[in-house]
Amino acid sequence: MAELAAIALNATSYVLILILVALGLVVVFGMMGVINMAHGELFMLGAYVVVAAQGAGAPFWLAVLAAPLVVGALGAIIEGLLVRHVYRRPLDTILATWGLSIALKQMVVLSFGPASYSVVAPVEATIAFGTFAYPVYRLILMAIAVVVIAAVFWVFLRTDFGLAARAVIARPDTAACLGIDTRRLYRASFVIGTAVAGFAGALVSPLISVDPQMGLGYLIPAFLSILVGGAGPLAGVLAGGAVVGGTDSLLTVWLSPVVAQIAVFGLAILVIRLRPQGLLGARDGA
Amino acid sequence: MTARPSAMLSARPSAMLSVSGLESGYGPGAVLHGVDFELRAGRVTALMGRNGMGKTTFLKTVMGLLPARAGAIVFDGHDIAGLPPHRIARAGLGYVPQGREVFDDFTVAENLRLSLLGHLGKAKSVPERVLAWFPILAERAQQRAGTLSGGQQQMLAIGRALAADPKMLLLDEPTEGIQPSIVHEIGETLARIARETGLTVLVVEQNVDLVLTVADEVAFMDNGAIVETTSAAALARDDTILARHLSL
Repeated sequence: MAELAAIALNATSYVLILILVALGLVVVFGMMGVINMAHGELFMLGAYVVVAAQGAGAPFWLAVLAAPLVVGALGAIIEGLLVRHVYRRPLDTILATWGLSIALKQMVVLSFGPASYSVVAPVEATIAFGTFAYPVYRLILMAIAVVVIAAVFWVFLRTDFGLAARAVIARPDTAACLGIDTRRLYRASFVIGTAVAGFAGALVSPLISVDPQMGLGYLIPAFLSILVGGAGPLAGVLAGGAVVGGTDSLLTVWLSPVVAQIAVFGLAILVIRLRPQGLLGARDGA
Repeated sequence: MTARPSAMLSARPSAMLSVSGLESGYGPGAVLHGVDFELRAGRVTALMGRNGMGKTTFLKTVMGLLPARAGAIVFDGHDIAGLPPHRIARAGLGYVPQGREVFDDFTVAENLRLSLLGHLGKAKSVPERVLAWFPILAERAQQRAGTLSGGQQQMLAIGRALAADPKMLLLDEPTEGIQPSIVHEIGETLARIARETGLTVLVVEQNVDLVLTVADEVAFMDNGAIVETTSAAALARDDTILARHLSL
């Protein structure tokens, strides 16, 4: 029973991190038609901000706060130099951001080396579930992830910025003709997406081994989450993340990582076959 | 016919929108072949012509949705050719696109709010008079725009453009796909708005009844150029004008 609780908690924390990564992807895709292959590397850079801070002796929580700022600033530069030239050309965005992902990985290899780092969790305590000891840090991570996910939803569903952003997703030309600066919204949304990815990478860094290849392991399930949940409404990411992340982490424990991967891909194929627009997807945006 | 008192007759008429030598189109093909068109402040002008002659292309080019390849577009004394659409909108040009283009998933209130968001520094709430012209927008404020009838969506699209208090309004076929009884109502309301506010209006329209209800002047476009301009009164008297430009 206690073991089951621990497995469920682990699955939940994985799902929440996946949703954080997928949120940035889906906003950038829905709004600008940009399929950002470098999103996983931005997530990875968030973790390396913590590695660098730890090396410099800076406190963990400061690094976690710095990560979205550093990665978000990088996102602003990437938007200005690369992404804005390929808006609304999904195939070109794949090539351009794929190149970017390779460059970012090599940059990290040159600065930190190809080996992996481990980050010390700021909270070493565990909490007892019967006979099972569960790390408190994972519980903190889940709480923070829920707050950040809720904040992103609040920004896009409840604020004027979000209303304008959803208008640009649905009808970019009409929104522009109402006086809405679509360029500025694109840039702001891209920066929000990258900052959230960097934050997720920093948060998860004590739980995994930090290495230059870590991005892909989150990018692929994040893409699958969007495919399964639907790219239209933001809530699709919640459903997709839960299905993909839940299946993956539960089957990894109960059967094996290979079976889990096969099951997740099989599930994604099934959903795409039966509901091409995703579980919650509609034809129109917003 | 609406007779509008006009101060423009005495003084030298000032142009709200002045277009000269405008060329534009899609891809390699040109649709507009040098449009020269001057719209006086405070007047309602209808732009008529057969399908495919460049009326919608003209509006889109003025709004910055299509690039002007040659020529000048001077709006309210400023050259707006080459500006992005949001800057043109903020300069005071309101646009009601063909097919209404309301945000189906947003409420009526949110559709109107978007127009205010695009014009920061202007009114913080939708002007009372817009809701007085289109009471349905206040009644259905919390209803999703996609659930409105075609005519109601058209009123929302017009109200949305007017919420930002523009100096000039461009309308692209506001009666397309709308039932006749509502067409008349929209025509009457547009005429009333023009009368009450002195707003400069350019309306692309095929419906002759609507044109005669709202317009002071009528221009005809053929093959990407303005080929004739006349008064609405003359159009009402002389059937041959319409026959000349609209029959196939």
